[in-house]
Amino acid sequence: MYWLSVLIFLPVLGALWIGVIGRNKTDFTRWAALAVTSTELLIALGLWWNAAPNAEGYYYLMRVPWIPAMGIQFLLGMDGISLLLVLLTALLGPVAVLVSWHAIKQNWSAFAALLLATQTGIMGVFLSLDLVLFYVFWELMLVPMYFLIGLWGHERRLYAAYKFFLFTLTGSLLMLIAILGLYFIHGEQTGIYTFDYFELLQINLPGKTELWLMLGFFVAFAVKIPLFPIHSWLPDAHTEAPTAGSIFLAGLLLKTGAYGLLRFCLPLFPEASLDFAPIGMTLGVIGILYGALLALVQEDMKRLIAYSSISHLGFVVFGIYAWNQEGLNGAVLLMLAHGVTTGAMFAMIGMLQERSGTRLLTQLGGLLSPLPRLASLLLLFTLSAMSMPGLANFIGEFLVLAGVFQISAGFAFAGALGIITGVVYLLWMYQRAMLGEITVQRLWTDLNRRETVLLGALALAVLWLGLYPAPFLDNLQIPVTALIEAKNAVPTGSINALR
Amino acid sequence: MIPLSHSLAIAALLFVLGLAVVLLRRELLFILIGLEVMLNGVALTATAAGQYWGNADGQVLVIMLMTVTAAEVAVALILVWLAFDHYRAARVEALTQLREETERRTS
Amino acid sequence: MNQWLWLIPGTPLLGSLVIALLGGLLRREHIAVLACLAAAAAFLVVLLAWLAGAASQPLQQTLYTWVAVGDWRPMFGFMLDRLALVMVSIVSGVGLLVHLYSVSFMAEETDQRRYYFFLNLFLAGMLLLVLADNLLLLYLGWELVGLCSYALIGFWYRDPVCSNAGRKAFIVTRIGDTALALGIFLLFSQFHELSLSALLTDAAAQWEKGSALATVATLLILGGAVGKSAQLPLQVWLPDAMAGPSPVSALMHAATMVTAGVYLIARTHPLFELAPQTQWLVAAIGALTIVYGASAALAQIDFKKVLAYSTISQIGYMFLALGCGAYALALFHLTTHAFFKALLFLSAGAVIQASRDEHDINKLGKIGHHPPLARWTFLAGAASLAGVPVVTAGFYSKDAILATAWSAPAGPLLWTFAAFGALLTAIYIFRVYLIVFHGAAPQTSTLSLPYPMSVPLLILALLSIISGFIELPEGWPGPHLWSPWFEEELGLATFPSLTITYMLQLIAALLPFIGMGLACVLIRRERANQPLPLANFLRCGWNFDAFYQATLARPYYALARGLRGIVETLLIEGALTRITCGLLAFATFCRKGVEYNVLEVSISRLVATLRFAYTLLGTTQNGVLSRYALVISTGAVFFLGYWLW
Repeated sequence: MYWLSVLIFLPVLGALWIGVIGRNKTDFTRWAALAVTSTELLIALGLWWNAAPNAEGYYYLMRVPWIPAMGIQFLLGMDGISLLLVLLTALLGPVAVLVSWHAIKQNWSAFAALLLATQTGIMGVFLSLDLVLFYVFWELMLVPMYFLIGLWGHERRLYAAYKFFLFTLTGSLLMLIAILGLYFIHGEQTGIYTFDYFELLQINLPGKTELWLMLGFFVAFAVKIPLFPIHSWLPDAHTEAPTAGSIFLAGLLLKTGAYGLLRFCLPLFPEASLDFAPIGMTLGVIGILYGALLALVQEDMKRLIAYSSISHLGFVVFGIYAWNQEGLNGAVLLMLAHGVTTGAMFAMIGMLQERSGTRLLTQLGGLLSPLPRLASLLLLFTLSAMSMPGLANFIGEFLVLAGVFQISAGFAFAGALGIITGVVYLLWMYQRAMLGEITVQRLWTDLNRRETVLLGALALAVLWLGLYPAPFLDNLQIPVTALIEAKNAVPTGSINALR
Repeated sequence: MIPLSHSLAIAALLFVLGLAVVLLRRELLFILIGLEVMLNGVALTATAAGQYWGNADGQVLVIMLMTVTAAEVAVALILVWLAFDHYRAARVEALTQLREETERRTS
Repeated sequence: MNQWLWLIPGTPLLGSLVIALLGGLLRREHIAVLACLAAAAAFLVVLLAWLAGAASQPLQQTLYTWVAVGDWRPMFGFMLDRLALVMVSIVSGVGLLVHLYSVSFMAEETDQRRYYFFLNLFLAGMLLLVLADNLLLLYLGWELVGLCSYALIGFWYRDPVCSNAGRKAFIVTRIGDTALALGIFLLFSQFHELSLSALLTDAAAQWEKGSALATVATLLILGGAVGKSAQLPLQVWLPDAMAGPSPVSALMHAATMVTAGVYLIARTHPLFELAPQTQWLVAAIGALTIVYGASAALAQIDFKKVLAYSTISQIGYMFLALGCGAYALALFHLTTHAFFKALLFLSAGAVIQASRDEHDINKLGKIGHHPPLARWTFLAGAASLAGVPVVTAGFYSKDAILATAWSAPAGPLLWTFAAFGALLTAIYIFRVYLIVFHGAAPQTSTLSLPYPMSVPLLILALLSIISGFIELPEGWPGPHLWSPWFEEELGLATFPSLTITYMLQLIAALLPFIGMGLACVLIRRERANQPLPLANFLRCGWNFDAFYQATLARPYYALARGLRGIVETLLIEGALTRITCGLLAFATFCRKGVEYNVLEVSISRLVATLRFAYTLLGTTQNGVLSRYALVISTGAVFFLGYWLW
């Protein structure tokens, strides 16, 4: 299906178009970027509409030889998981453009071009099924993101950009080694040297090797997710990035890590992953509680949301390593919900910063009366983030915990503490920003039409995900079943490399 | 039937003559003429060899060579004319653009 | 009627949506009217449901598939059986009255849109909770009412006290909710099913009585109920919740939302019957909470906090009944309590508003200028709360619970607690009544209340007097309508033998009068500046707040700060900085040691050599064409010669 490559290359072509002719034509660039991202969204929706799965659950596949001598193909595929994440990516594209409308003051064309290029990279990550292609896109999304943070960020942007780049690059180099290892071992076993995902799924690895290769992948993904000890790039990057950058970072880049776990770690190395699952779940639960705790003592709103992302992504990892129907479904749904909710939160903090000039909670307060619309929408998204039933995050977290409970009640109990701690820091944030007596007297303007439409759309998405997630979950039926079959295929008496 | 050795001797003679012209003359046009003579020597060798082996390749090569030579001469003549136009030089000593200017560099 | 069931929570939801989206286009008064209409519509649908025979045949409606995971597909569905029917009637009825009351009470407020949005949303959430046919949907309603409670407690958000109280309510109930969620997970992992009817039959079929799983599951559900219903040890949020407007306190924190825990346990009572230990724990919590709430109410100064502690204590009675297996009686007390406590709150609200938001009972007594109607309705409510025999509803419902508590395991002990609580109840409520309405100031007042306030007060006063007559005490001639009607769904309560029952009834009937006398004594002592012993301890609710502050809240913050300080800055940031510094030092060393001394020298030598060779070779590059040609031909000849020979 050539539409998949359209999905990938449309933003980058748009970026070229805007970059070449958009210099000093700010207004034109904005509308052009909006047009490109909206077209992208329409294409994604169209693909969703026409989706019909084949036997393995793939809606669309596209296979073109690229470097046949080395077994590298241009292999794209879309199954339920990638479909949902592609939808999220396509949705957040226009959101990021609209948020930056007036927030980006200089060099709009370059900004839009980089933003679109990032979108291409992320789309590519979600769609490519050839390991080399995946790696290419994986690195490709870093570069424009680095410049987005470094050029349009806030005060400590260079430090943050540098840290972000170093962390993620180190992780992905380990992944590259693991990919090559996989390639050569598969080649030696079967005589076919290929990076084809479907071929590599058939590989049969000895225990130790499998574990090491899995760890190579896992570290790359863990940095992106991020898991506890290697999360420290995230608060800096989120805080210093421009609003649109934060939206892409929190909404999409973090998801690529979790997606990688689902797409590569679990199916390629089922035995090692199964052995690793308790450690993965422990890391997840540490992330949940640690992020929630640290979020409580942040003064900077963006930093607070960044730590809350660590907490929420902890739930995702939790669900992935629970590795059953509920856990996996919940993890993917929570990724969507977190993308929409956190994207909206970052957008609102950006709007707040445009109005008040600060993100510090100590300098905000009492904004409910001058900005009722903003405050009520912020309440909606805050509630969603604290997993209020009927809003987006709830079903995801509920399913994850229900799935984990079937594996281990203790883990579920620890994870459920995250629900309480989530309320503590989010309500505290809301109260400090919105309630109380107003601290700064100035001419406040409530949301304008552009912002209302943008946030209204996200609010609708949040309600949809919360009240009627069935259409999204239906897409996950086949891929999740396949993942569980991969788990069940693990021989019970297999060599346990970890214990 | 001319024996092979005769043709080869003539060809060698032609080639050496051409080479001598190239090496000894200083005028650009003469150098060009010398090149042509050398090429003709080579062409003669090719035809002679083709005749000797009863093979058409030699003649094919000659026809090819003539075409190439024609093109080459056309280009070369234009270059010579341009050189004259640019540097007012018809002799080869004036065209020393390729010289390595080591003296000035090291100093 | 089945297909119209969604209208019950649907109409208030619609009302709140219209207020939220289009409220900007409406005038203030119109928003209030709209909200009232939505509540009235819900009540009307409930009445229609009664008429359509919901009492005899449970109604059911499924709207759509909510979640689809594998073969597990919980629906968005409603079920209206008798238990739900009673709850729905109370919620929508009291809700309607409170909406009406608010029209006048909140008329001066500027932010009516927010108020009525959350009030309508609350009604929708509460009705959803009651009608839910599966635990997931019930949990949705459960959280939704919690949210509305948070938002309305903090309605006057400019005052940090209010917003803090709202936050506290949310967090404390969330702790209970999490227990409930874990209970739901446990049930789900066991039965792979959350639909209430299927779940309860499965559990009864698969679990033995007293099995560990049943105990754990019911304990977790109890945790949720305790949090929502403000029972020990999660009761701390309710007294603070009085920071909200009085109608909100009447509706949420007296009549409906706080009784959700009672409803939950009644709804899942087959589970509790499988776990006798938990059931006894329910009764014990109830008994303790009765005494706790009543004793704390004894020393309060804030008018509304008396009522708050009273609510805690009264819900204790319901828990006691639940723990004794008398679910129908718990529901009976829930009903009468909804009437008289809402009445007390609304009357108190009228008094407080008439005295310019004065909450201190002693000052209220000194002002003394109260609307007479509020006084009489408050008296009716107080009498019902104290359980003045024969004429009030509270007597019938409380008496039945006292009697049934006797026959439970360790019954006399439970009964003693409950009876002591009843005595305290009479003392504190008459103390408040006497202080506020028979204070020092002259008692002539002609303040009249507007109709939207007076009509609900009168209706509730009437109900708190007569609603008890549908179920006369055990052993009395006259109607026994309530328990038999519920027998099919909730079973019957057990009572001790008739002679004991009569004895107990006699004691219970005497208690209010003893309490009244003691209240007079107490007031006289207080006026003589001889307060109760331990008054401060009781006033602070047995210092639970300080205890939790010291053991939970502060360590939590300290942990968060510590983590930020130690782990973030020292370990992670520090490690990063150290690595960077180490790399820098290494780089400096490399530059100085290796770079200068070894590399630099060798490289410069290499460069010198290369430069020399280059000059040598450069001379051949003289630009003379014929020389080039000569060299080429010489070379060609040389190579040819080498190759041929």
